[in-house]
Amino acid sequence: MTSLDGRVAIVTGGSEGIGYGLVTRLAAEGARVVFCSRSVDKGTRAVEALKDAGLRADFVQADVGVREQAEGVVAEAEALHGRVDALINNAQAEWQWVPVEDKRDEDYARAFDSGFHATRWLMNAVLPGFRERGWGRIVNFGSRRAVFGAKLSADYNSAKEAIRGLTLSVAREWGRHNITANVICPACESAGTVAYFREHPEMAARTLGVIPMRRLGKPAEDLGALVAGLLSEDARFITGQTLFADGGLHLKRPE
Amino acid sequence: MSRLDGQAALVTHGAQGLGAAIAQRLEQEGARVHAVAALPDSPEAANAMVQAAATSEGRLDILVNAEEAAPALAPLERKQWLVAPSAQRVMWIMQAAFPLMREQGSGRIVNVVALHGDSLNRQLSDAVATSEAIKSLTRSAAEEWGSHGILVNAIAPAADTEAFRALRAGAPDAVDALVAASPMGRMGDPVADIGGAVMLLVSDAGRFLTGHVLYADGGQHLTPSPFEAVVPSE
Repeated sequence: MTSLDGRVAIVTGGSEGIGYGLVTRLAAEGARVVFCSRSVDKGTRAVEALKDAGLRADFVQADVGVREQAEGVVAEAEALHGRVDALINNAQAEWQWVPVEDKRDEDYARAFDSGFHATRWLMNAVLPGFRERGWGRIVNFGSRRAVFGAKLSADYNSAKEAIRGLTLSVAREWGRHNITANVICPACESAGTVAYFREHPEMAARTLGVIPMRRLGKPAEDLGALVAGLLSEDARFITGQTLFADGGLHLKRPE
Repeated sequence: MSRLDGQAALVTHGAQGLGAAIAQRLEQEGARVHAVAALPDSPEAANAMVQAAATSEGRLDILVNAEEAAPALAPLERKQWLVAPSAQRVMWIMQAAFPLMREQGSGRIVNVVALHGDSLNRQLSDAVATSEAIKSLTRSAAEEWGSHGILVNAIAPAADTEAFRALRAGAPDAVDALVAASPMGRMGDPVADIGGAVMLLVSDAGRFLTGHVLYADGGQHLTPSPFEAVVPSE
């Protein structure tokens, strides 16, 4: 276990899925976590589930795809804890499975607002504090689908690759302030995949069979451990990189 | 309770330079480290090294191959070998560790590779080809051994070691200027920075990472290599 005692971390999209796993892991390792999501219901339920697990984190309702609300999350975290040390940009809207030519302007707007612009606004908002203290950690989320151009998610893919491009610029321009910025491309299970694989064992075997480690990642145990590592002193010299947290799936190409 | 308590580690090229620093870091984190000066020159020697490093119960948790490239600068037409024997020797030591790691259902292998090569190739053809061979071997092992819980990654360091200082001596001011222009503006401390990156790969943080080349370089792979200043341009 790494120790994140006292570090203040923001996790966007933290009320369910990978984001919730990150919140639980970082809180368990001693970080003071502020997480946001659009839904008050989901956020409140997440806080209660954390409490049942003996953990605590603060929830802020926000749609980070809206600039004022994204900036508001940072202001709220700073008001609660006096500082922010780490930013984990996990939020990203889902996409509709349609071909490139049928994607609408509003699909792209949704993908870019919730992913790319949210990531950009939040990074800009934490920068003054990071720079002042000469310490900061940014973890953004990309996608192997996007890296290799998987079909029917062009809007999502484009936003995810824009996030990777932005992360490189940030790594290069902010490194001198002892700020690191990296991207994680996860292959992670969700409530949906777990249920689907239970119903369709042959599909599970086919999907998991191509992953060198023969399994999907778990939000808290696998992704959470990696993010905690990236926030620790172990990762002080790691920046500008894409880490595929996928049990080796990145060695294969998506269908 | 340290993070690597009870774990057995073998570090090749672990007697000096970067390897010694990595061995020191693993020891500080609680591992029982067996450091050897060089890579094995035969499969039999590789087996002997693994046996010496393993616990009495036959466990080997971590293998780090830490040879630092100390390349001789020369144009391609004067090079003798494309791939140096160390790539073959890394394969032998990995093969020797494999049965133990498969038996225990877990293992972490970290191969040190050259940071230059992605962006600086001239006069270094043999060193770069050797490094690329080790990266390729790393990916093959990651694919083939992942189902046994064995995770295999490479690490490309920008370390402030004797090897770096020897190259720097050729043009210290120009090298320093290029280091300063890199994202984090400094070379890495072998124990804190490079050892830290190794810890990411061998600790809980790295439990779902395999087949990677992790740059432990403060972002130097994004900017011109400091060795640009010392490698002749023709």
